[in-house]
Amino acid sequence: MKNKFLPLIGVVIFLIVWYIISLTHIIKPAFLDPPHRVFKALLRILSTEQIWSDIFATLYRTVLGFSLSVLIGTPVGMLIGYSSTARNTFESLVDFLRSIPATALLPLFIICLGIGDAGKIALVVFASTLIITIYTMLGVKNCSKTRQLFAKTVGASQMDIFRKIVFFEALPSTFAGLRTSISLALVLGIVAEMIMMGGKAGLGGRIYLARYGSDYTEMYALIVICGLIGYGLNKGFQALGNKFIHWVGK
Amino acid sequence: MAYIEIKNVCKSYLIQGNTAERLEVLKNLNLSIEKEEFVSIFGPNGCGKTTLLNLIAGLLPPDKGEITIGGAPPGKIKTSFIFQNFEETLLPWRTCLDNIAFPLEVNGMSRKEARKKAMAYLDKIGAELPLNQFPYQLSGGQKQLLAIYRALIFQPELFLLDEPFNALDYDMRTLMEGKLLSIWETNRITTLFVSHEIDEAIYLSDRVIVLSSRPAQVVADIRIGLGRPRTLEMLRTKEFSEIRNRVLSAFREGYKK
Repeated sequence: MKNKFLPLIGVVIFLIVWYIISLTHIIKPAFLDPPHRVFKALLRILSTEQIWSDIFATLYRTVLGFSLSVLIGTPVGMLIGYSSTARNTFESLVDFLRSIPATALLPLFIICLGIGDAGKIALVVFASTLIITIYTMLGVKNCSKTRQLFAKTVGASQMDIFRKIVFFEALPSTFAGLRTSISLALVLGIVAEMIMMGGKAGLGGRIYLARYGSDYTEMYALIVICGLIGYGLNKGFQALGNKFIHWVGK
Repeated sequence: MAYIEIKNVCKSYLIQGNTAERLEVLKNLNLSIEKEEFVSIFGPNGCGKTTLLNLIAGLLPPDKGEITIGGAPPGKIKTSFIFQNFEETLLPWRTCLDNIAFPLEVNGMSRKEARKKAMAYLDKIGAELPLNQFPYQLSGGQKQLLAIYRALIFQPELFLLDEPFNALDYDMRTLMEGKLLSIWETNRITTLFVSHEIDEAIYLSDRVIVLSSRPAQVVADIRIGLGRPRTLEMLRTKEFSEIRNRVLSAFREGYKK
């Protein structure tokens, strides 16, 4: 059964469970508000000017970091995927760096770049770039040899094969990398804001401050905002993918 | 000297996990093909027909022997090759029209020019394809046509086809054979057609070369005296069945084991 109301029913079930838990006092009432109070707090926060400036700060760090990652990760991934020499040289290194939990590097970024925007964006760039690099590399590596052979027989140059065949054939994988990394960029942007308290608070900073001030209702409302933004970014990318990479799975 | 000269060509492959022995695919193979001929290569499965096409296309070097095409080594002249798994060579991110325009684009035309030229070409040969759709929206026969049009648009001097109609059902196959014939009869590109369908090979060709089992050698070189343009009625003539018998007995003779 496929019904467009089913996803809504899922949300409603979640809210009911949340409500029941808050009624039963399994969790101290001070720590867990019922959904309607969080919703009220959400509306109140959204009517302030401050929240929009924080949302903007978080989006700025996330999107700028993500964009830089695309600029670095896509060409590097293409190169490593296309040239077996480059792949043999760098693949293990990329795998190793990717295995480092990016948050373990927080102190390093603070020392080198401070607690302002630069340090936060650097953390986002570090993790996102590696993800994009790996997905792009796999996309290029797994391109059909037959298709390239065809291009060669009709006289295509290496450059043409790369620009007109390999690039497009790798796009679905590249795009999967972009989608994974935009979500990761938001996660790390918010984590960075919780630890590096320089500049505008951003959503991460606000959540941290709300907890610090024991304003748990506000904290939950801010978490909901983060969730909505993450969901929006993910869905936006999915829609872009469906539009531009129409051939996948067909 | 013939247009394509294949002299004493040998080709073997490494057997995986066995360094001492090699799999001999072609052994001292000799063949000559004239310009503007339509030649079918007919032989048992796995006898090296595809390898032979790869050598002629210049995609593989022979171990021994020599291949010349118009006096030059393979790979020097404009060649179109329809692979057995040709579906994999279609470009799903491009519309049919842009797929057909691809060979023109990589030979120095702008995309706009290439599209225009492709349109003119398709009009000329009376192609019926949904040009603005993508390959994955086409039927099996349409995909086949797309591959053929794309192969011929840049006016190759040599056209190689490796069992192209295998995936099609009987009706579609007959239809495609007819289309291929009418295209070929108008521009007479030197064509090598690998087939394991005996009727198809005879119906399309000027000559049928029968190969033996591996290592492949030429068992028979049978000239097909049927007139052109070919018609489906010819399949029912006495002449056709006589040729068919000759091809079959050559095939049996070359079929070892």
